Amino acid sequence: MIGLRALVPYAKPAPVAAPACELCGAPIGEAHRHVIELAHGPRGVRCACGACGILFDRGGSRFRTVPDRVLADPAFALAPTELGIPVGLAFLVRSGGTTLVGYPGPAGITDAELAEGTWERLVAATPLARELVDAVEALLVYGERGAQRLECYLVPVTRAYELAARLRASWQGIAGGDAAHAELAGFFAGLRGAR
Amino acid sequence: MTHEIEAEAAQIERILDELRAMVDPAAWLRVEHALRITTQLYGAGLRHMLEHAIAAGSDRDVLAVLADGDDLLASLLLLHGLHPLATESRVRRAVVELRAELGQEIEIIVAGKQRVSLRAPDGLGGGAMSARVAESIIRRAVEAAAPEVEAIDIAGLPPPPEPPLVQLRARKEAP
Repeated sequence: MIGLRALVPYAKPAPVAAPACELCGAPIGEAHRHVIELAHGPRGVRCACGACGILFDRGGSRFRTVPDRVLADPAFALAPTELGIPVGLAFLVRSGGTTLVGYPGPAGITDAELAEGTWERLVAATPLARELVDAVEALLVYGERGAQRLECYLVPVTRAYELAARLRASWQGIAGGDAAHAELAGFFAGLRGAR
Repeated sequence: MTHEIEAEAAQIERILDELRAMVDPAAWLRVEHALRITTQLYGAGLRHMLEHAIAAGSDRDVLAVLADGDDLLASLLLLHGLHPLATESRVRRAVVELRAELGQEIEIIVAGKQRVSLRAPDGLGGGAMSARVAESIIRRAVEAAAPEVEAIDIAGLPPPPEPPLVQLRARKEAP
C-alpha cells in the first residue's frame, strides 16, 4: 500500500488555528495589540501579543505598535467646508511629512491627497494634530448630516480601518442608507464612551 | 506502477519541503491553502464517481476488490478516506506483510480508527536492524495502509537509551 504522505494534511479540512501573534507565534486572545509593518501601510497590520506590542512601542524599527489611546477635542470648531473635505467622514494619517486622507465608503477606503494648506489649518485648529503619531494613529473627522461643525478624534489607525470595513459591509445605494448611518452613529457612540 | 507512484509521492514531499524553506511564512500559508483546495476538490470528485458507480448498479464487493487491487486508485481513495475496505482489514493486511518483512512476531491488540495498538512479544530489531528502525518501518506501513488512524502505539519496546555524554575540550585559561 502506497501512502501519499505529503498530501495527507491537505486532504482534510484545515484545522482551526488558535489565534497567535503574527510576529512571534505566541497565543493571543480576542483582545490583543496590533503592530504595523511601516513599509506596507494598511496592509502591514499584524496581530501581536503584549510582549511584541511593548517591543515595538517606541518606533525606530520596521514595526510600530498601534497605540490604544482615543482622544477627542471638544473645542474643535471647523465647519465641513473649511477643511476642503467633501463628505462628512474622513480620516487622516501622517507619514514622513505627508498627509493621506481616506474616505470610507461603499468600495472600502478611497485615498486622496490632502488639499494644500489643509494640514496647517488642522494644526492651528486642534492640539490633536500635533499629538498624532505617524502611520499608527489617525485623525478622524466626522459631521452628522447637516452638521454645522465637525467632530475631531485621534484614534488608533486600526479603529479607522475597522470603521471603514463596517461601513462597507452595511453600505447601500449612493448615500449609504440607514444601516450604514446606524453603523456610523454606533461607532461614534462607542468612541465617545471609550475615551 | 507502484514504483512510479512511490517516486511521485516522494517528489511531492521533497518539492514541498524545498518550497517551505524558500518562501516566507505568509506565502507558505497561501501555498498550503491552494493545495488544500485542489486536493479536496479531486477528493470530492472521486467520491462523486464512486457514488455514481454504485447508483449505476456496480456490485459494491467487486468495486472494492478492483479499487483495492489498483495501486494508484487505492492510494488516492485512502488519501480521501474513501477506501472501500475497513480500517481494521487494512491494518491486519499490513501487519501480515510486516511479519514477513521483519521476520518477527507482531500482535494486534486494537485496530481502530482512533488507535492502533500493536505488541512485539519477542522484541523488535536484531542483527543489523535496531529496534528504532524496526519501529519506524512498522509505523510507516500502518500509516500508509490507514492514514485515518490517529495514534499508533507499539508495546514491548525497550526504553530509549540515555543520550551519551560527550567530553568537550576544557577551555584554555588566558595566559
